[in-house]
Amino acid sequence: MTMHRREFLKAGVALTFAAELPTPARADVNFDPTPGTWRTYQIVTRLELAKPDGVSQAWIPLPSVNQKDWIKSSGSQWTTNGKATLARDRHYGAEMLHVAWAASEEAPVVEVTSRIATQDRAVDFTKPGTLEIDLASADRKFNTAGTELIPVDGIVKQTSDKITTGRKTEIEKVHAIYEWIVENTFRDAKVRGCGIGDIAAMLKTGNLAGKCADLNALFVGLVRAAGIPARDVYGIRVAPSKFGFKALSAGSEVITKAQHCRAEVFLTGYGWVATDPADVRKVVLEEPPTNLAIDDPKVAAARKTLFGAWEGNWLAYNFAHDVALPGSNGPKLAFLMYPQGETGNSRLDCLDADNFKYTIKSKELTAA
Amino acid sequence: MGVDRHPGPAHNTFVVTIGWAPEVRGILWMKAVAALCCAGAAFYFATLPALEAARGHVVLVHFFATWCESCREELPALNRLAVRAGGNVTVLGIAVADADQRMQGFFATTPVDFPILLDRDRAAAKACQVATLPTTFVLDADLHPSFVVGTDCAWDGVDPKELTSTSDRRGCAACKQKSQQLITFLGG
Repeated sequence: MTMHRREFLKAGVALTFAAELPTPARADVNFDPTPGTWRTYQIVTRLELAKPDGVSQAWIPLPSVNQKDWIKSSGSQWTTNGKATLARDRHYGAEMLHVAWAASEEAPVVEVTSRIATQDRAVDFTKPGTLEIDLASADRKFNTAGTELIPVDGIVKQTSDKITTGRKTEIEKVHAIYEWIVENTFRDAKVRGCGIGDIAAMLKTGNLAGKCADLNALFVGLVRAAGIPARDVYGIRVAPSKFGFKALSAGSEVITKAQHCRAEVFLTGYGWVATDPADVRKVVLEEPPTNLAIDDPKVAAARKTLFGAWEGNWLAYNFAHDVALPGSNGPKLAFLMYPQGETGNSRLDCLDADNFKYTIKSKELTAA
Repeated sequence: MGVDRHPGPAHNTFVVTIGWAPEVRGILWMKAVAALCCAGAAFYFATLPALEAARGHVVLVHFFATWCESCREELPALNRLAVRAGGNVTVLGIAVADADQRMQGFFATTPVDFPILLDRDRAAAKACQVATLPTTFVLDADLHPSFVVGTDCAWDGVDPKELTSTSDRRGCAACKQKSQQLITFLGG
């Protein structure tokens, strides 16, 4: 085999990095997402405004991420007694169904059926990257910029610099930040929904508790502050984990409260790489028998795997931040992961599905 | 309890950089910090008609959110503090980035006697450089910010007399001068 010098150097970096990865303490914990088997799901979101009070509107996130190596969206269909419009966020391309009802409508309702296919993702860091895989300058700039709640300067930059001191390559820096998140944050079951994602407040207070939209947002912000492209991916779990991780599963066909945010980093030579440090902390807190030690074999397996891989039992809605809802005078959303609604110019509580109200159901159409 | 939707005044034209103190717990009277930050907050508070009626009292402007766990515990304690103060302390709550329906549901089960402004887009929090929740500004009788409590606080342990006696301008002379200029500039 002939290996060019630059490829050799890259391979050396990857192999050195791979040697740093923790090894599961027990071989019987199998968490090995492997691409190759696509699974198709039908997602039905039904929204009924429980207490309409004048003119009402709703916005339902639609699966709008199409990446040939892990997710394909086949579009959505809907029925409603309102006026429905397919809308798209102009910055991120996040799609949503915008439905408006007249004040005379006493029972606003909309049902959206979406179909997606996903498969596992995994990057093999022991193999050299492909030099041609790089990000266009504009995309690199976009994915290293700050957002409303994810600044990349000030305390975020200071923290990122501290974590990455002495780390030379992109992979080494990102992995150091990933490990820092795993070791310094924790999942707080009391946090509503998936959290807010106000990462500067987290760092300023020293309160690093939260859920996925907090912990993975902090990860993304720290990586961006290091000058490396990263993005949150907002979505929802659609199926149980085939590896038996209860904490990383949709518990039933009703996935109304199964929203989950993951993260990607762009590593030159490898492209967009799957990461999910927040799910490591979820395994620590929730995987039976719960409150696992950081060196528990299940935690060790998740910690190793979720840097570079994730299981395809989850769909991605979008990558969007600071989303303005079309037709609304209300504030922008930090992210669009839950159905949204307004009635009588009041924003409904998207985390209170039972009173809002809405349900989301998932059904696998193609068995693995 | 009255709930108003804040109109969102054009306050973003003036921003003061704040250097928040390190993390603390319990009551923190940050005079030095207040000297830096209260000019921006004073500018903002001067735009709030809801505060004018409180002139002559010590006022606690309390930034919170119902999605913030410690905030939820603190609101009833603030209400009790105002009652204990017998009219000498007024509280104004500012709910940051809270959904309207969530607010209504929360205060239906946890009523308070003081008014709540809805800072739906974080504009008020930004104008006052509020970095964490909860944060409470203590204003003197002239509605001048004297202190900032930049963390959660056990208000049930605060003596209202102590609060009124410490919320004067002595620790914030520079701020007083600056904020007075701003208020004058606004034509107030």
